[in-house]
Amino acid sequence: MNELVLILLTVFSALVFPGLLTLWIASMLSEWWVRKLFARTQRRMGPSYVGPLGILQPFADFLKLLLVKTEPNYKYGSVRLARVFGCIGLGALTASLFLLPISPVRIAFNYDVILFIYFLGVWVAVSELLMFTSLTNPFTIKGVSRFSSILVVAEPAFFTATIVPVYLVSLVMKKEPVFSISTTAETVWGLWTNPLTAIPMLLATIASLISIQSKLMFSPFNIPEAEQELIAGVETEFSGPLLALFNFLHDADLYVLSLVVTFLFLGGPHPFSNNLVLGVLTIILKYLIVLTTITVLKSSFGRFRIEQGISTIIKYAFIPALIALILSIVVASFT
Amino acid sequence: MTSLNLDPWTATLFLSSVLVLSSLVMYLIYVSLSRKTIQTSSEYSEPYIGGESVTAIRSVDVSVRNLFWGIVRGAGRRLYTFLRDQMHNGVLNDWGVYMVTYIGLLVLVALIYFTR
Amino acid sequence: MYYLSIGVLVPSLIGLAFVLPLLGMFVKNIKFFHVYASAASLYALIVAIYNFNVVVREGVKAYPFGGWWPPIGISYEVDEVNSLIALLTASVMFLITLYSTWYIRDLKDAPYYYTLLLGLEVGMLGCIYTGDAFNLFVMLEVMSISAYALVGFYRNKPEAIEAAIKYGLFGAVATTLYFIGLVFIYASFGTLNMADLTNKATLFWAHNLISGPYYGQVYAATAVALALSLWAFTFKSAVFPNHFWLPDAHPEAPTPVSAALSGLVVNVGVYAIFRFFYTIFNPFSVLSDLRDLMLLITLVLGIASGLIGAFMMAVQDDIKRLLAYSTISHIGLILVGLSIGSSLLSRPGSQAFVDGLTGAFYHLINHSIGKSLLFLASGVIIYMAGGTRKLDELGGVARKNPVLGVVLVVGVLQLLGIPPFGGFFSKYLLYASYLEAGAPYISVIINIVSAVSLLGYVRLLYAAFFTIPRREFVKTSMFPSIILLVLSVACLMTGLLSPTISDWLRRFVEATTSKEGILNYWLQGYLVFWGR
Repeated sequence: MNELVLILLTVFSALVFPGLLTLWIASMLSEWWVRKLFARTQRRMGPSYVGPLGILQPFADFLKLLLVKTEPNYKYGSVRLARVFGCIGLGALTASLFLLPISPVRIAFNYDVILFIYFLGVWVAVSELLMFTSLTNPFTIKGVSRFSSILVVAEPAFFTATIVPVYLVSLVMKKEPVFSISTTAETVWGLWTNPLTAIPMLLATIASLISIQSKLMFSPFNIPEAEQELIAGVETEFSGPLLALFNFLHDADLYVLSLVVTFLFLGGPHPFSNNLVLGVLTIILKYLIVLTTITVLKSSFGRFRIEQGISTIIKYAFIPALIALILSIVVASFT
Repeated sequence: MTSLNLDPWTATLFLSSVLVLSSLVMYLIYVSLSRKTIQTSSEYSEPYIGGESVTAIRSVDVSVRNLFWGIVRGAGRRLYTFLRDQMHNGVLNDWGVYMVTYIGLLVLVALIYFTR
Repeated sequence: MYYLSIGVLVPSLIGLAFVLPLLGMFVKNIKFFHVYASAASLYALIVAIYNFNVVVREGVKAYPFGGWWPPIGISYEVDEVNSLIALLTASVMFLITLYSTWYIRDLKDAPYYYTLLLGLEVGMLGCIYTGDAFNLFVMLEVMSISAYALVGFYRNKPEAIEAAIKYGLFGAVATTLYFIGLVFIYASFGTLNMADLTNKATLFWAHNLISGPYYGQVYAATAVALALSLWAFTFKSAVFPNHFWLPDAHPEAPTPVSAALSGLVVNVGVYAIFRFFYTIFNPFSVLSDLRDLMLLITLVLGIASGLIGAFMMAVQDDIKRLLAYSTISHIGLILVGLSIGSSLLSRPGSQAFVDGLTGAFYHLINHSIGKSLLFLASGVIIYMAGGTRKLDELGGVARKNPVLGVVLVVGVLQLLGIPPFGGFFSKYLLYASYLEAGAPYISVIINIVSAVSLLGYVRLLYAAFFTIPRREFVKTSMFPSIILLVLSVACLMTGLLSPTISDWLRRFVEATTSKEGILNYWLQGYLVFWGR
């Protein structure tokens, strides 16, 4: 293909769809859904005034924090470092979207699940960690220590849970390129219909949902930003545009992780893979199911203590994912 | 809808350049739209410690030792008392036990393998 | 024909090193020794580059010392893997020597320091270039004795002396056990030349004209010899459970020496394991069953090292001890990559086999550069913070000195394995090789090791950036920062040039570990007599 057209298409994909602009819109809408549903479970109204059903509330919050409020000066830390790593986290999320089937410029190669995990899991986690640490405050540092402790168990759990469908698609259904996210996203529905592979898939889905819940610091894992216990934990010193950036990063993380669950575990646009409109609607429907599950989990539990949280992640996310992986190896050796 | 057929190395470099591009654009948007505070009081730039002044605590930073107590003293306490206090306690005799066990295992494996 | 440059490097460097104390009696100006040592290591670097060029263009090269043909004489044999590791060693050592000129600028014992440093370099290059198993023992001793003395260099510090004694005691036992293994090998094979041993183990040509046939119970004797050698090499590269000496020895040495010990000396053990298990007792040899079992043992030990290094890294208070445990963790990962050759995991020449070995060597390169970078940066940090090594007292040095800050972040990201730095590509190969080999649980374990080591690096970055300064920082010149910048650019380059580097490494691994490559290794070593 023409080099210039490719570069333009890449820039378009990076900045418009599914890049920064789409990321922003989708993240804000996801935040709205979570906030509205969470409020309704608590018999509150939730966002109601800005836009129909309050759908534009997160946009308004973001724009107010960015444009109207001012950035804090901080004596003991570096606001610039927080800014830089916030933006790098967003860049990493954008780059990881290129590996999913929704991008106009699609990249797929053997074992690209590893690159995916490193962009989505490791880069975003490191950016968030550095963003938190850069504003030195005793409460922030306590939150950082809790956050990194959770990350140590949640990242391997998420990795293992992601490897399960990828492994099954590569070795049981034998699709090329092997161990690739795009291939898995396109063929994963076949795994649910086969009872041998459906059990590992179920375990892996549960594991991935719990590890996502902990990575996003949603209740019962809202330990790093333990409100009132640690003032606001990791978010204590964020205010103004920095808070807007962090909220954007957090919501974008929610968006991409839920999109990953939609594609890898729920099958994406299946059964309407060939129809554009119906396919998109199916994706949105499945995505909203994932968001609803996350919100229901969020509203059903109180906050865990840190050691309870870590043992819960190990018991209900890491061990099931490992069992699913071992079952997949057994299944793959028979076929 | 184009599919790029790249080898893993070039694909990673390509995606890293996408990362750099997007973060740069986001940074530029952020910097151009946000404003810094015009300092009005010295209290504004101090850390928020629940309303106390900075002199009320010993230091604004936390000792490095307390950084991961959730793992070291919480969930992983048994692991760490074994690793740090029993295995790596600095007693040379314990080193000797580990090393001799290891070489004994190796020689045993080698000999058993060839006397079967 | 044989190339003089392969043979001339090690003896000339030995000569240059041992002349230094004599010169120290006459010359009193310390700058002379800085220039002398830097020139010597630059010379080593140039010869190593030349050798690398020759070997890449023309294949395996051998050099018989004194004209005595092997196996009567000692010969050095350089193939692609050899020359690459020697090039890495020489280049990082050159940067370390340049850094030493700043680090020990006022030291009165400078001649002795440089003698030992050059002796360390000679030992490493000799171990890597050698084609004779007994010469490997000799060069291991040269390297180890320089290392023992360098660890205990600050004679007035009791901790340094204690660390040197512990290292020296167990190290002497290790090399002695390797020597006993060599006794077994010589008694059964009748030869100590690596090429000849390759031939006899693989039965290319069952009868060597000079060293004769086999004697006695060859299988049992070789098995014991392999066990003892593996133990000795895992001691040198600090693999669990032979790793206890490293966290005591590496922090107590002067910082450039710590960088050399952690970044380069541990590579020698890994290289020796590769040489013994992939060339001499290769997958096509008669001992392949035992070899598989031993490689499985190294896999388990590599995993244990990786986990133990990562967990212990998260609870350290001393900056150099933290980096020492990180070395243990990474060498564990390299050993996990090397263990793919077991036929229980992959066939020789298959995708998983080549990927695993390429990943191991790529990680070797990335780790050397990244770890040296972190150690040298920690030297500057310790100096600026007033000589303290405690993490709590560093006082946010990296925030005040932006070059240092950038360099630290680059080093940490490289070792964490984050794209686009080089560390990612080697970890990708390690993951991919075990996924391909049908053992995804090992990829999960590698991921756990990386996740836990994140704790240690966060500790390091927090202490260097965000602790509150308690005293004035000591001012320092720009010179070490230049070396640090060179190393961080190298870290970035190993990532940006990864298509080229991985392609070359894949070629090297395939050339060295295929049956034709091993045959070529023997032939070049055997025919060197007629090549003059």
